Amino acid sequence: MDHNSRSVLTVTDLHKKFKKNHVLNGLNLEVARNEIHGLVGLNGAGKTTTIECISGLKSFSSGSVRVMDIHPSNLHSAGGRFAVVFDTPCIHPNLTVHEAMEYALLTCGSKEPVSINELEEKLGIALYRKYKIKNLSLGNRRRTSIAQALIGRPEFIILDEPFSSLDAGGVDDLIELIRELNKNSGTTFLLASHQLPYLEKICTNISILHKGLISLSVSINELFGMENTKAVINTDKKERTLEVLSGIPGISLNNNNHSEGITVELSGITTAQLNRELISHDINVYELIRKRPSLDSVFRKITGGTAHV
Amino acid sequence: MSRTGLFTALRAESFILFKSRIIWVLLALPSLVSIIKMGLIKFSNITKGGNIPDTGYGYLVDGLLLSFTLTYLLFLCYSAYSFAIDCDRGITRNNVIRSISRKEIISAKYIILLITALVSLLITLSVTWAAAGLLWELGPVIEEGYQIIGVPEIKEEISLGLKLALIPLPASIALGLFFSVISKTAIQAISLSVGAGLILDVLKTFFENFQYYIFSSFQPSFFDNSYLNDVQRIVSGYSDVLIDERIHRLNMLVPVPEALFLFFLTLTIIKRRNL
Repeated sequence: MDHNSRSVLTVTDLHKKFKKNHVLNGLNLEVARNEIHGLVGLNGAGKTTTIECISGLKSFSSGSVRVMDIHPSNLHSAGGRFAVVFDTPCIHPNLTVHEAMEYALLTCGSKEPVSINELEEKLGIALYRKYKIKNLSLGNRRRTSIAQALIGRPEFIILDEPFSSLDAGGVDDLIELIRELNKNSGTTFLLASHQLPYLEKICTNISILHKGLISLSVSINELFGMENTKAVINTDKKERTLEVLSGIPGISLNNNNHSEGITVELSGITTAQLNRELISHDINVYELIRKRPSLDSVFRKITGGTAHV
Repeated sequence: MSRTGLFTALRAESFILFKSRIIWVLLALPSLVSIIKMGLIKFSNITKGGNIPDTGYGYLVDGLLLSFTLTYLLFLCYSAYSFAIDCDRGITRNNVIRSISRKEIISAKYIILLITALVSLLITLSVTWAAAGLLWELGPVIEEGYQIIGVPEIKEEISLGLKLALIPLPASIALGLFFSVISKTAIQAISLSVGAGLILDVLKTFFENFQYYIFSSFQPSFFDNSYLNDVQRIVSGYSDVLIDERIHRLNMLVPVPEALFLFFLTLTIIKRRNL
């Protein structure tokens, strides 16, 4: 087992079919150590199936999967270095939160586990430690489930739909926790979600799963460089502004009714240069908003669909 | 299968079992039912005027038969439920990823269930024996002033009956685990075990001589009988009980290989099953 290899996950040409329905058609995915990797896809794209194949829970038709150089069927031998948090919290409903944590400690397989109290405090479930799991809200069950996964100090964690059923505060706490673990402990994350704005905030890399294949796998910076920057302009002379803009090279006007301002795409020109140009034509600029390309727009372009935000 | 993994699985399995209320059902219900039955019989004897002779050992074995039958059915169902419900709740998923292999999970369940079943039978035996001792005099079978069968012989027969009734226990639990791994949900597993258990019990006589090659023919049952049933008749003073040595031999030989077969079949299936 090579503990220092660069990749914690290598998926090569993965095929999976349910009866005649091909869900994964030669999926290739690589997650490098220390990455926070987002896996996005439409509903039914195969995100959960991919995770289940990676975790050794479902067999696959062909292809190869290595998690920290271990075959999925032998992941129990990883000694707790790998953990998965599924979209539905997998906890015994009759245990209390504290007992669920004790159970996780028993089964985590780690020689240096994190203290239960520390995790309960960190995940904000200390208040509920005597509550039975079945009496908790879905959000708190999810927090407990995440705390269970962290108890063995895993090096690589997969989170399936990590933000679903969490309130705004819970999402912020989770994002903060992922960042902290990534920065301080070097934990690698694979986050499968369709909550694109959250992924955009936190991920270092993004892979888009579409039609059973990874259609795009890039770093977040590369992703943002893939589209031209947009800007929304509000001025005192709308007609004159449109006339001026059409004469500036590197600017293309979007086909819209400009009801909330004029939207343009900038290519090779900055917003500051644009502002100067408009002022030089005696146009008063009330508002000039630079809109960064979003994961959502790239995602829509590739999948032709909408992500659920 | 590693020793560490199996040890972890055993600890995890006992942790869950002792935190749940089902343990009380498994350990106490058979004894409770047996006490209730014996109490009702005693009450009925008293109301009939006390003319019926109190052959205590007969009632004791009758109580044991009922409680053992219930224990077997309970453990068949619980072993079927045990793994299937863990799959339904996703607990097995986490365990196989973290530190325990699929085989270790099944082996740990098998060991824990077997130990719990033995403890349950021991409790049942002690409680039923104590209750029978309180309700009746546990003495020899006497008819018209003559001793037909003495206490040492009665105890010997009961001991043999219990031994023979215990032998199918591992196979019964292995059958439950087998149902558990082939079922998609816990409800399906329980239905399968209750249904198959009772159908096997009812239909085994249709298999004629072949029935003695099925382990469940020797376990205490609702519809048919095991040697324990014959013991009940012997210690109640019946003289028409025929002891077939061949059936005793099969009782000792058949259940163990069938338990092993079912257990390894379960391990083979679990290796490939989607979780």
